[in-house]
Amino acid sequence: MNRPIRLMKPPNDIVTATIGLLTQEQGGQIDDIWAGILRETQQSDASWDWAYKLRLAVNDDRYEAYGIEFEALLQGVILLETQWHRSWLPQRFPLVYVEYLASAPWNRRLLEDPPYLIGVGRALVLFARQRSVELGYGGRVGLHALPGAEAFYRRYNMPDYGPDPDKDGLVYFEYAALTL
Amino acid sequence: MNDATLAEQLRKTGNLMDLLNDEAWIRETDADHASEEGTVEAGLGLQLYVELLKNASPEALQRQRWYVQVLSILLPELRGWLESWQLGRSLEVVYMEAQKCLYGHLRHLTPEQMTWIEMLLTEGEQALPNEQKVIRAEAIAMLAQIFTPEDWQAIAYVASQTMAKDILRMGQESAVPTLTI
Repeated sequence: MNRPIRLMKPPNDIVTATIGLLTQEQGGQIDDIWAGILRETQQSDASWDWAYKLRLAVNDDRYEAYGIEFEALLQGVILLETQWHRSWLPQRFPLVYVEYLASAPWNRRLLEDPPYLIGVGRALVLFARQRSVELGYGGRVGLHALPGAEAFYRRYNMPDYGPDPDKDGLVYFEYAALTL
Repeated sequence: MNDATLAEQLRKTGNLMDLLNDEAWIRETDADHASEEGTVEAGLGLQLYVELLKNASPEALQRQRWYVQVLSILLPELRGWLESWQLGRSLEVVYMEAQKCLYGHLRHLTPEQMTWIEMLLTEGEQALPNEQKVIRAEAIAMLAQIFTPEDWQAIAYVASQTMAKDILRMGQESAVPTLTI
């Protein structure tokens, strides 16, 4: 079931996008549009298995893949693992783990141009917390931020547990349960 | 986006995502646009993606933005056109194949097609509802012109393959073993 969400489109518009289960067609856009156009000039043969993994999520109950779409284009994607991961706290509470979170390349500032849309990353993080609440985990969410993204998660008050040697030193962040 | 605000939202509506339909909250939270201008990615498997973006030239990123502007107009028109054909279960694969054909053509537009695209983009910058956009109203006719007989063959092929697979699967799933008492 797709639900509408509002995002900012610079300079000053608020537009309505939708978030829903990732479709095969949206997954195809990751290869063709997010990466394909850029790979033309880089001559890169870099393996692109994360888009493939998103498609595998369709057949595995542990995983849930969602996409944000606006004007028929995939703007952001999130892959959640919902059964196996546990909190880094001693009580080892169950939580929603973010396997992947990504925003489309054009949602970044480019030289003189503002991002195409603002708020995609935030919307995906909020969605992960909502799924955690719905699954009975109270809003607990864990993820490993890529270099350069730590500031984004700190800005949204996500507690930082330091580098994880099991994930190439990526910093692990974890939201606790929301107190009602 | 602090926990107190989120907890309050949960108490009010039970759904944190309702915050994303609160225009005042969005504007207040986005007041500092810098919050979304850098990397937001999480997940070890995305390192190659982030590297790809880091190594992309400004020209490649600029060209990608051009494609995004064009596709943001043409993809909804393409989808609406295909939906009108009532393809049922084949719609998604047909749409995917049609998109691939379109991407290929956008890389090699004729001068006339490029002129039309530039007019489409200029019109897109105007604050007009889509129904009043004259150039956009020509989109389906232009797509029909852009797609070649080979494109239609490829699109028809994926539709037929999908239909055949679905029929075979449903036929097999419907087979009920006969019980002899």
